[in-house]
Amino acid sequence: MFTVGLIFLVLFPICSGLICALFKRPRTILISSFISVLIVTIVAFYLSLSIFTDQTPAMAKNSWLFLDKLSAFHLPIMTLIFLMSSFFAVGFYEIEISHYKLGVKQIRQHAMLWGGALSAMILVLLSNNLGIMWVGIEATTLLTGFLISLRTTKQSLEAMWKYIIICSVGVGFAFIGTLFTAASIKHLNLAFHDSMMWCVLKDLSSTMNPTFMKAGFLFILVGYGTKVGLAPMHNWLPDAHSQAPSPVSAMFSGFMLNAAMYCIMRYIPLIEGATQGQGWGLELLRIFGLVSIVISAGFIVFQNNVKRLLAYHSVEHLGIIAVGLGLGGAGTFAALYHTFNHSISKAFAFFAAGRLGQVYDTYEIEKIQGAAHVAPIWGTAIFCSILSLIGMAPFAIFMSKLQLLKAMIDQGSYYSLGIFIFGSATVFVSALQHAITMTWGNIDKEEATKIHSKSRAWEYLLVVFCIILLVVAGLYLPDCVIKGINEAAKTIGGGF
Amino acid sequence: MSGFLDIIIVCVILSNFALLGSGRIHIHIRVVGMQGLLVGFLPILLGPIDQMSRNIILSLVSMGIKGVLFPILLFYTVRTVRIRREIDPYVGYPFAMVSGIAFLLISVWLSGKLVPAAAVDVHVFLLAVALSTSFVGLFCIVSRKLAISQAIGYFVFENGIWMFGSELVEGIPLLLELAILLDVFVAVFVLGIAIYQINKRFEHIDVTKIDSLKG
Repeated sequence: MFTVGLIFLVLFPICSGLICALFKRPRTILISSFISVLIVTIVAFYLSLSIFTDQTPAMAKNSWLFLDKLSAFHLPIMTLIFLMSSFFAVGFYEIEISHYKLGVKQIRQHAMLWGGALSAMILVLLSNNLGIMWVGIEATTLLTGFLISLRTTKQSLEAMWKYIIICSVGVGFAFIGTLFTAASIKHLNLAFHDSMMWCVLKDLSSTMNPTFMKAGFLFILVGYGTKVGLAPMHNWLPDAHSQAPSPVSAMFSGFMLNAAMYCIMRYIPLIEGATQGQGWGLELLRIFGLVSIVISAGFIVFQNNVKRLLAYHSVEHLGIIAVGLGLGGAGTFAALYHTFNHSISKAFAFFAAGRLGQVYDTYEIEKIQGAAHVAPIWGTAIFCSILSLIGMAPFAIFMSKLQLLKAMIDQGSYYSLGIFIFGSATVFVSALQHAITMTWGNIDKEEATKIHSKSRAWEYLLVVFCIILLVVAGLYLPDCVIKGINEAAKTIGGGF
Repeated sequence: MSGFLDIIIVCVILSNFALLGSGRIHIHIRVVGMQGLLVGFLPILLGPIDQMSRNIILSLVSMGIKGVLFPILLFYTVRTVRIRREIDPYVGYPFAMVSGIAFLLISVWLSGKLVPAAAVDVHVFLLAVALSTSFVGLFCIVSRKLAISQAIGYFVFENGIWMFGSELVEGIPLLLELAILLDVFVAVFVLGIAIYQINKRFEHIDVTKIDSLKG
């Protein structure tokens, strides 16, 4: 069952993406794309739940593909984000087309690249082979490049070029890291088949050559860290996320960054084993995380574009996840919990920003004022999503940040605590100010009536679903979910 | 065998200097193609001896993609954007050549540091040349102003990584090697189409003038 399921998950999205693109009408293309993502989501949820109820990881294709608790944790999050974004895309692109900003050709391009990106990310999550994991990440870079420049404006082309060059070079560094990792077990003379298999390397990590593994981890951190958007390698992120259409931005921030972070997570037990648990690798991860939080906080204060604001929030939150992973133990649990919370919040925020951008015909925060009067449901959405992102209770991110604070205090990591609180407080104040002006700022009554948008059923459905999900995840986490996240954390040496 | 390897090493070093010292795009593309052919021999020379059929397949595919297809696709891109020369780069050509020497020296020092840590016999100078090729590729991305030069720099960087991998890691499964080559092959298409779209919209491919997104 697992063999067929895993192969289906990898191949189906790209095949269905190509088939969806054959349809003539844009609405048909987008709805068929949504249905194929729905099928993938159902299969992914079923397989992941099976892994959490069963105890052993599932292997397929001579153990090149596998599904263990860590990948079974990430897989449903990814498919849920893709599902929500595909649902949003149907309504969003319909409006873009009606305003002559996009044509059928771009919708076809979207459908093909969307399916390809989903396949590539699933390959990353399901790979046991570290080299194939790298191939998947490089494939996501190449396939998502043209999603950014779907509307070929000068700015989107600039963003696309920056993204492709910076991320390709970064992922090239990650490949050097992968080669160093393979070189670190060269002296063990493993069979060719086993030489880059994560399951095998994890058990042998204490016998790895520490010099090679340390060099490898540095390259992995900088390389995959570029794709994650950790500062100072984050320069492509605000441009790419702000210029891409909103469903694509939601997918980028909602999961693509997490896919790269997942790759770094896979290397944590290897470096810890090779350095005999000294925490050398974890310290580096923590430093990159803290730098990301501080730099993003600085940029958020002066931001004027709502999508760039959300992009810098992504840098901040991936920095928080990196700090959590760098603490280990309960910090790893908090990081994984935060992964889920951030993905949902960020996708939700990009949906709101995207629709408000269509209503106001601009993404400038100064010009998006009084959204509660102009488009009430999306005004509510942007306010709730930004509240969630800055860590306001009762939304989920408040709980995961609290868990992280607790982990920092328990481990006595006070300098991390200080920097984290400083960064979070700065972001809280500036982002809240932006959120309040966008939702309740002064707007000319005439202007408001002119651009007033009557929302349709699908918009209410999406917004209410996201708010409920964020509140439930914040207020009530069932024991089985806590246990599941903890077991996923234990896969990479964390958990409590 | 070792003599042939030494010839390859020397030719790669010379090709790096040709890349650094010239402003003509068609020379850059020929250098990338030649490097692709040269490093394509490495699986046969350095691969596991008992898997010669795997090594030969890999060499042929690698030389075909990097040595033949890359130059064809890059020349096609250059023809569509009608560029012949690099615009004054940030770093002048003589200084770039001196930087190339510096990269080589740093790479020799670095590989000297790495090699004693290895438990098996590693060709130190090949490792050094691989590292210096990667540095040269990165230098081209950073110091050149045309989008096509950045793309060429990326492929030289990839050649360096390929050499590095051939020397440091013995048996990567053939499927994985082919998947990596496929990725790089798709990259050349993607970069080519991107350059074409940039030229169509901006009517130039000078990346210093494509910098409106700030903050």
